Amino acid sequence: MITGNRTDDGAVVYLAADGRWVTDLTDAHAIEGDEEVQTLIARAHTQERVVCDPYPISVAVEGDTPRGLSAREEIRSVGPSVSYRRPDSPTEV
Amino acid sequence: MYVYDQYDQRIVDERAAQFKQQVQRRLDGDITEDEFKPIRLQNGLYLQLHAYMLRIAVPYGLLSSKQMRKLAHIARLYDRGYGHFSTRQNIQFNWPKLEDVPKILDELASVEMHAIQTSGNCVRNVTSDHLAGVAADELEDPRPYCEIIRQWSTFHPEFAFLPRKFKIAVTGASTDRAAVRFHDIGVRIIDNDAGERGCEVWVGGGMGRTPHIAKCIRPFVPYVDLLSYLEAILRVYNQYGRRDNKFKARIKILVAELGTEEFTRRVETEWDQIKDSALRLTEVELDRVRAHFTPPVYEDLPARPHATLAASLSQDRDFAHFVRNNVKEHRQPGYCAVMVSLKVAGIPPGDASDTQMDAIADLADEFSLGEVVVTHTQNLCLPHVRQRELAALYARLREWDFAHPNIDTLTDSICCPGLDYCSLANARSIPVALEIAQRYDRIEVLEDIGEVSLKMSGCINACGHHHVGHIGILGIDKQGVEAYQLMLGGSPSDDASIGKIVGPAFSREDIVPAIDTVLNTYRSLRTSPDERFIDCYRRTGLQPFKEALYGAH
Repeated sequence: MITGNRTDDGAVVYLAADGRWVTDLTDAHAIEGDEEVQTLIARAHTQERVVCDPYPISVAVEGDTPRGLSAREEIRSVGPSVSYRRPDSPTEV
Repeated sequence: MYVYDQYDQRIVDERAAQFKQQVQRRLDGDITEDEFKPIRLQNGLYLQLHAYMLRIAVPYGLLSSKQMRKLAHIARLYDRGYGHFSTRQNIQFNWPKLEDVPKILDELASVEMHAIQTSGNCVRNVTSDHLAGVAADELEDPRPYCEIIRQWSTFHPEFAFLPRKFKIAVTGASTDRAAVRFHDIGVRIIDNDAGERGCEVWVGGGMGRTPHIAKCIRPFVPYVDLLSYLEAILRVYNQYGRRDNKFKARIKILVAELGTEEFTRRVETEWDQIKDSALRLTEVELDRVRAHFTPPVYEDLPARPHATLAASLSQDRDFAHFVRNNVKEHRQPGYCAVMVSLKVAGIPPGDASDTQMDAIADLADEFSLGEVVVTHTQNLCLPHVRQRELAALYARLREWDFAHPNIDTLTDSICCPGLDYCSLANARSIPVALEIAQRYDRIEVLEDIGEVSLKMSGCINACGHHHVGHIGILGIDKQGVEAYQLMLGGSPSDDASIGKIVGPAFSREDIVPAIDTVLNTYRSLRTSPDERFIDCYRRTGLQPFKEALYGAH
């Protein structure tokens, strides 16, 4: 699959089969050959207004669900693994 | 509190306006990411794992209540309702949209703040002792010197593209609370034997993939010569520092490769050329800068503890723990400095919500003459609290989850954002810190363990200062799987030392039990409860800990 960060907000995005950049890994286009990877990466580099720093990633597909193979890509696909805002007061914990 | 003059204000206003145009050009597709990247980095804007990250400078960690409220407002309006206080005494926002960043810079400029030089290969935010100006062991408030260095280094044309980033710390106290020996330049304000004021200058300290303890290259530089001496150091670094290899480009490598003697010789040769230039500081200039700091107006109070405080201490055990661990001595009779812990079970170390930032601003106004200090240990400090109001402040801090009495204990850990946020990280650090915080939540247990520092980084860049933790944890990537190296024996202070790796890395499941083993080993080895972890380690060495962790073989 091809991934990058969206220029507007830095969000993690993946290249879909129809050429759109989507935020859900399950909507991403699975690529099987090196040649297609090179073609799509080259094309992604021409879309800098939309996406920054595109690169290919390896995924495992279990059923219909793809999953990043490295810890880094797994976290990129789902967001931080920790809660990120304190409750307004201890009573809300 | 430093108050901007017309030049300071013009600089931040103009920079915000410039960046607004640059962002628009990027959004319009007129410039590429490669062209935009160095520009955004010079304005503190990174592209991290999930989003942009904006790092905002907090010079020497000092914030007014007004500035803290502005940070709360930015967190609420432009981010996800929280900010992260960093080991560089800065604050980072993790989710700003690109189009909003110019608005954020405008908001910051309106309260005399900015994000200039919080990234890039330039002189970064100058850091200091979080007790600067109030410490009982302080010779002189170092912040006017920090401010002079900030003004000298901001947009310094010669030092805009150094071989690598450059960090300077200044302290005026006898105890080093600013880790000066682990900065590119560390400055200690001292008096010489003749009673003249000046600085001891340390160079070439740092952490990262090759940690070094700085070398003292000049035991005394008269204060009038401080800027010219710093400029001489930067010139030698700029000329001879390596640019062929990013990992060997910091000044610590240059000092190590040249040798301290040769490096110093080159600095002194350069200094001879410039010491009598316009860089010479005068008492008039120092006074001008000092006058821009609004002095705290203290009441005349007796030095002895207030009767109400003594009564509260005897009646409330939790409050007694808080006073013992979180309240620091103040140079002004009747006052104290109060450490506000941002290390709470379940919350990433150093994080504060927008509402908490508003609350701390209110508490600063009510109890601390309107000032808050960000510490390099990722806590906050209310620096001017009347002792007689401690109990009332404590009650208010509890309402906001700020009163955990764990300062300088195991759970007062330094922790980088790690793989949960950072594009450079190899492993997560926050979940490890949270698991330890949850496991060691009882203050009685923490106090039994005593003073121990735990510092964690998610990669070799060492933003979490793992090299100088009494216990350090380094996250690594083992074929796509997170693993953790454990090291022992580091210290960032006057007894500076670099921790030693104990042995092979632990898995995510095993790293916290390994910490348990280290602490249990310490408790079995210490000569008395008064023997601190680091002293015990230095007495026994690594071996008993290694055997406890890995077995005798």
